[in-house]
Amino acid sequence: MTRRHADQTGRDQGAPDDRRDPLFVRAVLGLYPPRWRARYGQEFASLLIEMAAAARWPARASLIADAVSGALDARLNHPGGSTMPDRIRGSIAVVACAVVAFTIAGAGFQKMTEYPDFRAAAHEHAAIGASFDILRAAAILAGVAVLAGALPVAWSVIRQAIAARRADLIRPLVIPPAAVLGWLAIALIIVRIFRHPQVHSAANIATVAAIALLGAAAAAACGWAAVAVLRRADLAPRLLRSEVVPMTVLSVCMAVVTGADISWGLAVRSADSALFHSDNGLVATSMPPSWAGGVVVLIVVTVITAAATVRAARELRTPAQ
Amino acid sequence: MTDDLGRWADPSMLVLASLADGPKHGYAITQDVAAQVGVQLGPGTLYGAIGRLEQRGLIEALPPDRRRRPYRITAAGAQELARSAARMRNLAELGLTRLAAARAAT
Repeated sequence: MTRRHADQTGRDQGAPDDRRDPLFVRAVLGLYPPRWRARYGQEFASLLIEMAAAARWPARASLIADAVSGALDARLNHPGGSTMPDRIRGSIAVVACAVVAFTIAGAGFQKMTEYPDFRAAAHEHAAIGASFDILRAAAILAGVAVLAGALPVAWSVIRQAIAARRADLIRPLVIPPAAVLGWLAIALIIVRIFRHPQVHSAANIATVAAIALLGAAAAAACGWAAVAVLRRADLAPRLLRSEVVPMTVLSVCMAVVTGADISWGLAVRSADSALFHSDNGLVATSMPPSWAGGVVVLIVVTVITAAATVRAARELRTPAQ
Repeated sequence: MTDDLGRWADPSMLVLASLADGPKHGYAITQDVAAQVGVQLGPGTLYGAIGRLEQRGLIEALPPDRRRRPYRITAAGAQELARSAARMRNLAELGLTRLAAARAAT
């Protein structure tokens, strides 16, 4: 890894092979645990150089002895080397991945229910209609929560990326819009080229499956980009802590969406058994497995999101000692 | 670390007190503590304290300025500093009052 890259990512800051620093600084830093060096290495080296330059022997020897004893302290008392903001950052990354899975499951539900039969059932049966409306409202609110959480982070990262000309941040920032626009463009091209009037024809099913797989790949790329940005960017602890609010709203919305999806499926099964057991599921498969699969995905991502939110919220209440 | 303040020179308290009037980076903290309290914090001691305080949410890091990274005290840190300082003041007042009473009695 080059020096420039190490500075940009911040992951190898303070590495003992930093050749700009005097030998004694590199030697002392080499005694500290790698994760400690990654977090504090640069600033610690800067401090050690400044203090050593201002001190004369034997005070300088005392400084170096203190720095060496600090390495022992770091090895004994900072086993993980993670800080409160780091742990919140990890929780946000988990939620970002859960949002990707939630979006895919939501898109699957939307695709499954776009047929006129489902719209008619929603109009005719109050329970189906109410479940669908609640699900849609909660999903919209979840989208708002995601934006409320993502935009401040994105703004902070964009400012850093531009100010410091950090290519390692600009690249993942470009991925989400490129992935979404690319997927939409490819989907439009596929739909225009391969027109299949028969909904349940093999060709049409293959076309829809290809578009769905490409969409899932685009969503996964967005998730990877979010995690990469969260790992690389220098985000203020205050900003990270404020993310707990949209994460909490998102968790509640996900739970409501999951509950409404379960309620919707049961209502369809109760009100129109023929429709429930039809082949209106995803890519013309039977509906019950499509619905049940979507419910399972929603339950899993809701539990993961709620657990990550609780973990992040606990970090806010870290007791003063 | 060399100090003559015994347990009152707890590095974490010194760092919190130094950050109470605004954000500072590591070198500025050592200079401030040396000037105000006469204690020279070594780099290992200082960063041991910074790591503990940050892990407990009592201070937080700000974006770095080149290789220097400023830190600022959090609301929880200010609360902890106020509580500890009040305890120290009570103990100091108790000690001074009793010493004065003992001198008056002899």
